[in-house]
Amino acid sequence: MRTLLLCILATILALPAYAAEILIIQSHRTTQLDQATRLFQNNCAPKHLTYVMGDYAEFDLGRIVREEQPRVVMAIGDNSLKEAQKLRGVKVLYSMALSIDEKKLRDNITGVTLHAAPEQYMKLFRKLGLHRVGVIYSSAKSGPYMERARKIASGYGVELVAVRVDAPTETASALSGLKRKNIDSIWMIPDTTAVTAETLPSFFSQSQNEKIPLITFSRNYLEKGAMAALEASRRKMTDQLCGSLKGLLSGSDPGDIPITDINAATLYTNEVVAGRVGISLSGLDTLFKTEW
Amino acid sequence: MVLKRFKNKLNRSLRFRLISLISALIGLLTFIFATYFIYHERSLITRQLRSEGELLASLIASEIQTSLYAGASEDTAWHAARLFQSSSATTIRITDQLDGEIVYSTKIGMETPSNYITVKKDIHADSHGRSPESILLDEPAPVVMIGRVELVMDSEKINTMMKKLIFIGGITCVIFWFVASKLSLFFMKRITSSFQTLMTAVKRIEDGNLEPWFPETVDDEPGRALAAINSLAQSLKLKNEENERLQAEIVKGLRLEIDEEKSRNMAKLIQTNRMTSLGLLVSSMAHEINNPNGAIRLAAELLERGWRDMRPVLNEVAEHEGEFRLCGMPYSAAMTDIEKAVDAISRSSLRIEQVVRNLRGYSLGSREKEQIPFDLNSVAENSVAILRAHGKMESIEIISTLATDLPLAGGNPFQTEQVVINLLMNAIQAMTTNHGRIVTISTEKDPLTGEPLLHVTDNGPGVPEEHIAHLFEPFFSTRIDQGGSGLGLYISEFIIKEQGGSLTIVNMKEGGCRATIRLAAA
Repeated sequence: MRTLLLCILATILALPAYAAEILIIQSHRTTQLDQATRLFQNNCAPKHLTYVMGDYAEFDLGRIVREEQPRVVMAIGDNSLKEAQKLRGVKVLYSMALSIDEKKLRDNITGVTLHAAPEQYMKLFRKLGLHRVGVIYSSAKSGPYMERARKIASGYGVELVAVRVDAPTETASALSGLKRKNIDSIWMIPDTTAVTAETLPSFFSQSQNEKIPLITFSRNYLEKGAMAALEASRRKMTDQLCGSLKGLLSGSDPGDIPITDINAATLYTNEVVAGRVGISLSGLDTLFKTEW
Repeated sequence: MVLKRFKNKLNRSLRFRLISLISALIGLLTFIFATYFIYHERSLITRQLRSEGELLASLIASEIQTSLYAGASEDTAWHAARLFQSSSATTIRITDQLDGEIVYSTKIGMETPSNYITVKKDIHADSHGRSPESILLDEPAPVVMIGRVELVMDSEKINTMMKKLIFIGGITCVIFWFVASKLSLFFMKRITSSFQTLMTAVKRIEDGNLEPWFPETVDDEPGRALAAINSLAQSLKLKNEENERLQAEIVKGLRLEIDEEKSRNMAKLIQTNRMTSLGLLVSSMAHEINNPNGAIRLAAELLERGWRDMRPVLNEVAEHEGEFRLCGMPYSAAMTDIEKAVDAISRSSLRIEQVVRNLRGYSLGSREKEQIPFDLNSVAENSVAILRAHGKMESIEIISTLATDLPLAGGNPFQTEQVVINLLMNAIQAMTTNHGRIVTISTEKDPLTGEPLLHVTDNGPGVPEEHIAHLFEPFFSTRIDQGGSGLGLYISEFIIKEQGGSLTIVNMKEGGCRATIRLAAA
């Protein structure tokens, strides 16, 4: 009897040693979020505990963190990041968040955006011979990203003609305003304020009317009239998240690990549109081939 | 009146019924089809108008989407007006969903039609592509409603078309119904012509015309039925003729039978009348015989008493005087004969009295219920004696075989004797040949019951088998025409039954017949 009690006591005492270091919070169940979570679980966090917020009527992340005491909270999706922003004293890593204002994030939060790194686009613009690239963005959603892009644009011989909007209704007029600024292409970034379902026709009609190429972030728009799409690599994003997680687990402070964009992307093109706008796509095959 | 005539015709004529039914069915189907067609057309036109409106609204929504979203009211109005003016809509209203303001509104015509068709089209922005969050995060893009287009379509056009459709449809239906009814009448007449012919044939038979009738018919069911009816009529005709002939024969036979029956009944009546008269005569004769017979009996008693008184005197004379002659013979012989004669006179007188009483009783219908023991052998001997006395036994050999151990019978010996005489008379009359006629009268004791039996057997031809069952019926006689009354055996059986016995007549295997009287032992 005494032996049995000792065994039970030993088991209870040993449990914290097997507690999850990573607490994964997924906003809700969608194909993209499920895939991202699966990639992260398999590649970065063998010891993890995963919650899907959408599965609960009321989700109290603070209580879970107090009970589980994870070393890092991985927030996947906008809603989970919003919830994780309330946490203090816990290292938070995020991904798959679009509607987040990077400037308002606390020091305990770092992550990887959904944008392909500006360098990828700059290399493409240079290859296509595009020098004046018009872009519509909102400072809340894409301000830091645009700052990163501006910093490197000149290095690639590209001048960004960026127009800031605060609401989707301003996009159409902002695009109209670009006509007068002598741009040779339009860059559509995944900014949820500037680019909405309502404003999409304006981008495409502007591209068609002005006969300038539209460079976008998803191949879905190629059939709508975009000439090229640079899709950020999810595997690369996972690798970057693994790197950041490793740094956090090794004791680095989140403030020391900057928020990064995805450093690899795949290029998709519409040759018909390219022909209509007079752009040659030769030599592009190998440009991003190795990245995917 | 017209309705009554129609109803009467409907009930009486299959053709009229069929034509009426088909015509009504055609009318009903035409009406249903026309109603369905008009309803369908109305739905179609309405749907078309609605589709036109929806298409127009979609077109307008598509055209003004960007400008409405961007708040470019003038541009919106210009596009809407351009499309509206070339359409069949009467009213258009474009509302901005953001602030609920009416961006553009105009109306053509005076008033909104009562049964107007309104088409509403919400203007969304999701039809041009997927938003970034939809593509990158797979999150459903919110359906953002920009505004709404409302169109009122000109439904007066529907009313005008419906009126025209009802008018043309009505006329078409009436013409179709009329033509279809006429055609059905034509075909029905052709189809039912065989039935009409059949009905004519049946009517001919009903009227009694059974002559074969062969009108021109096709080889269908009614045609074959007509042939069958013709065959039936011919057969019926033959049967009728046969029936008439048989009827005539039956009538003729019945008449003959009635005449014969009448003759027989008349003969019976005559015989009955004769018997009645005979009864009265017998009754009268009995009275006339009884008086002298009474005198004879008294005289016989006197004579007997006298002889009894005279006999000692005559015996003393004979002892003293010797034999002397009396009545032409010696006294010793005469003494016995005289005693026998006196006794015979007494007995005969008594018998005469009894016979007369029986005759009287028989004729007057009285019943002798007295049952006394008597010897059937004596009855047999007396009967034979009486018949011999009457000379009825000429050329007939009568053989008497009387049993010595015969028990006494209970009953009326005189009536039994009357029956035996009747049976002997019947036996004599049954033998028609003059030579070898033998009648045997015999008595015996039934070994089983111990009852006395008396048989009268002849060697005549016997009784025909078909007559045996009727022998004891009143007025049944094979000799009615020879004076037979047909009552002899009837009365004989009645007498024997009254005494508790039975009378049977059977044919003998060796020929002739035997009558047997069975009486109860006393």
